[in-house]
Amino acid sequence: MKIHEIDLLRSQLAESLAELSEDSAPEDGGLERATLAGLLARLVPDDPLVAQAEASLGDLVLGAIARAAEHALALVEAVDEEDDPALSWNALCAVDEACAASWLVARPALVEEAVEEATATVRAFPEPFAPHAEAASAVLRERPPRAGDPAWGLWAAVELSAVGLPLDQEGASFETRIALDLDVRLPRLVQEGLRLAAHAGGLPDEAPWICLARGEGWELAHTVDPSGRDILLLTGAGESSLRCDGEPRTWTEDPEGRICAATPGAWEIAVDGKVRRFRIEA
Amino acid sequence: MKLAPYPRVELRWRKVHKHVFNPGERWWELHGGLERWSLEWNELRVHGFFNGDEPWLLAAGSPPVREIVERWHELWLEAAGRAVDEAIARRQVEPQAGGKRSYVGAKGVTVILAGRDRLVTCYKVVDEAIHSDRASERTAVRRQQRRASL
Repeated sequence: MKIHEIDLLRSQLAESLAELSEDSAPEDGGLERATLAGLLARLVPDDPLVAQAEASLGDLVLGAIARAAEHALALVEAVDEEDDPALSWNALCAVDEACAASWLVARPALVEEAVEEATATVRAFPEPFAPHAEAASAVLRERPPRAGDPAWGLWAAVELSAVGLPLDQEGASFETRIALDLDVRLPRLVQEGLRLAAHAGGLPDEAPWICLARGEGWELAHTVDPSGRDILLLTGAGESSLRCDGEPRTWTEDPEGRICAATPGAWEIAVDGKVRRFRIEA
Repeated sequence: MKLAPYPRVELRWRKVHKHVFNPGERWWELHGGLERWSLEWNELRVHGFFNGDEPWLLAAGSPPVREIVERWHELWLEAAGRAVDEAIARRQVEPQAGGKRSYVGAKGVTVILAGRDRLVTCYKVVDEAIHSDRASERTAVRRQQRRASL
């Protein structure tokens, strides 16, 4: 996946550089080139496109980077608890990109104040950012900002944003517990009374969703179908087999993926060559 | 793609309040131009549409404000449907957690759908230097794919 990200950054940077013409002022697209080169430099520091982008930048890009950090801070401050996580992710990326650009031009001070405020906002109101805690860990582990890059503090705050929020009874996500092959007991998602409430429009629009496992291009989840029935849903995977209490079960093709009624019992589902075990309570 | 509006009118107003009249998202680029958008923004401001947490909801119900907000909601919904079509044509669709998918269309218009066609939200990602529409689209695609890759 890291290779895919490198390819994307290279292709976007090449496209942005190609848009430069003889008539272009150095500030035209300078912020975008600094951002893309800064992100690419975290992954491939000696990529020739990074040097090419650096050479194309003029002094005016410094002001653009500072303004981008202010704009990014405004995005972070505008995040509400009821927003879809895509919005908080967009805001975090905007801050991170301003950091990457500032690091590329060796002027992290340009963004420091805005990034510190954004980080403080994440610490003070962690809930909307908690869905990105695992992604923040992955950023720090696999694509770490370099020493002195203010993005470190931001991602560290996001990583901690899920601490203290309700997960399962043991304090870990179901997905993590299944991956570790620990004992996992899933609740039934929809009781009869709630089903009636759903029919009366008294439940939120979004169906309950527990991610059980995921990998490249696939996800296994416990959710409900439009009639309110508990189901297991597998989207985007290849070979998979499943058993409940030792008895083979079969997937049914559905527009959303493959589904199977999530009846109570001990489940074993093989996806991507690995067996995931969990129990659904009666 | 034709998307169904939210059943609750408050939610429709909330999206217009949060996205369409957020200057940072530059929705005038999609319809009517900056001058008209500014006039309407000012009309809404005069009627208290940007006041605090809840007063704006009361303001949204008053006739002159409601007319502007409902019309912009229609435009916002059309833009979302168009962005979904563009995203499918450009293969800029990524699965997200919770069974949702994100779609990036032209000018950075980003749509989140649950299932095939249930609208969760739509917002516009802009290149912070307001360099070009294409740069905004690249920015939206980069953030979308980065999220999917982690």
